[in-house]
Amino acid sequence: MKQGSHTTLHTARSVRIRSALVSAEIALSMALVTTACLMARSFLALTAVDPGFRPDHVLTFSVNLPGASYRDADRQRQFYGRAIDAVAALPGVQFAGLVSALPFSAAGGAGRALVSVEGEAPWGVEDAERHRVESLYASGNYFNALGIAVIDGRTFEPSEMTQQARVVIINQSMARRFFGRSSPLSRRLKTGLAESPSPWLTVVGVVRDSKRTALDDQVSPTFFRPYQASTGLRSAGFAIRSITDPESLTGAIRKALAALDREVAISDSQSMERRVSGSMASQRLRSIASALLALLAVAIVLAGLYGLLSYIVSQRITEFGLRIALGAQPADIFAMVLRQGLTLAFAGTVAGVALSIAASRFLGGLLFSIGATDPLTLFGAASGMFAITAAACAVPASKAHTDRPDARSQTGVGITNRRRIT
Amino acid sequence: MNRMTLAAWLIFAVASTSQLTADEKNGGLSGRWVMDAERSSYGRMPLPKSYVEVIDQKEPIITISTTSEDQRGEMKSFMKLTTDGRESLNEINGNEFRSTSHWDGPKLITTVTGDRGMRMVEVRSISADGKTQTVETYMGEIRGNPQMKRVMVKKDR
Repeated sequence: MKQGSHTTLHTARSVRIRSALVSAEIALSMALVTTACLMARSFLALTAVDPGFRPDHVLTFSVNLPGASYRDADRQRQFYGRAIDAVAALPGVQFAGLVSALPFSAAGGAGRALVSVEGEAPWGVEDAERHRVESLYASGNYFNALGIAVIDGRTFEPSEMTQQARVVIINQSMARRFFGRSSPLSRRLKTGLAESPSPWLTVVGVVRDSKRTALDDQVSPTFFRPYQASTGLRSAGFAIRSITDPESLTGAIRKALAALDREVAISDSQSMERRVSGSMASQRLRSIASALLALLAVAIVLAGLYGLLSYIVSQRITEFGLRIALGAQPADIFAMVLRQGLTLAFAGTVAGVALSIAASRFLGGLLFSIGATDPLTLFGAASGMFAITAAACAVPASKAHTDRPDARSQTGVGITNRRRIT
Repeated sequence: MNRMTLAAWLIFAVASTSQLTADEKNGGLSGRWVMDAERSSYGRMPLPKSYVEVIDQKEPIITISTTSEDQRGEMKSFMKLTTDGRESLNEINGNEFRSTSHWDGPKLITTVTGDRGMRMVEVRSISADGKTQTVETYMGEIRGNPQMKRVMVKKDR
């Protein structure tokens, strides 16, 4: 009797410890599941972002001109002009465009400039941020090639593709910042201070905002000038819109450029779709990794909860037999065990929600378009977690009233019982 | 942009702000200044083929239009600074430079800081006849010998 009492105490303590551990497991898993859900939703939101151009059927590559033979800016301009013409003449090519820095490319970023708008007060140190924009040099067909829509005005005309060109195309962000709701067409701006002798540039077009480095980036106010106006462009990016598979054009383009100058090689050739997809690689990896971790954690929780409840059921099988013998219904036994499991699941889930919220501050920088404490995600993850753990409880709970020893043989009470209740 | 290019632009920026003398605080600095390559030194860096500045001095504001030529071709810049110690922000070819200038007796001290925190100090002084200006550049702070020295001669044409 004494020994039995000691064993019962020992078992009760053991069950309490295991229960606490299982609840902690559920809490941790809940945090991981929440993270995985947030990452997945963030990634899905990212894939739905409109880059502001049409990446399909676009081949992109970079050209780096050898320094020895292309030190002179005139030679650079001449080569680029001939290269654009040569590529545009290839079968399957719809538009061939050039830009000083390709979007979604590590080859080089856009230039920066402080600009002045005609009629505006000169900027100073205090309001420099408003005047800080990105600058790019491009050919007239660059916008057609990449599929950047012209919102207002036009792109560069062939006659404007000169070193003396005094025209500029701006994106929507720049139009909004400097001109508000009024039309920026025919307005003038310049790089540097208004009183500087640098030439005023007339706005001839407004193009749609387009992402430059990543889908989750903010679009900066940007202006484009004809590439011939650059004082030096040793490397440039090409965007080729094709009517066929864009990557199938690479060989022909290499040949066409080699025919112009064998020393000039193209690099980083890939479709724009591949570039855009590649820009999401880290988010995709994080999403998959967190999902795998969450799955693993849930599996461990299920095993732990199932194991614990099975252990509890095995320890109490005699008691259940007695209860049945004394008139308890199998459903009562099922409910009793299930309640015990669900109590653990509920406690773990609540703790998991708290843990998820506490851990959210580490996630903020990794998410796009969703808050780290997004209520819908938290509710969904908690509901899912609770449902899964409830299912894990149901199996041992059902065993509690189906697998039990014969009550009479265990207790000596003269009540017959079926071995297995169905 | 590598550090050498940035340093070159920084030097260019500092040089653009530096052609001032105490004797010409009354506006006499306005005019055209041409670098005397024989008497100038850029240390390890090559001297430009030519370096000309047109200065318009209306205290405390001074504007400087600079045209220089090196192996990369012609470069132009425009700088505006104030000599009352307030910070000025200028841009040369996409690079931003913040500078402060103040008179220290007959010398004008200009401190220029580039985008990446690179800092230079230039000390300017003028000859007794007011026709020659010496510009000394120190990297970081004024210590020891200047890393660069430019002698500018006033020439109307």
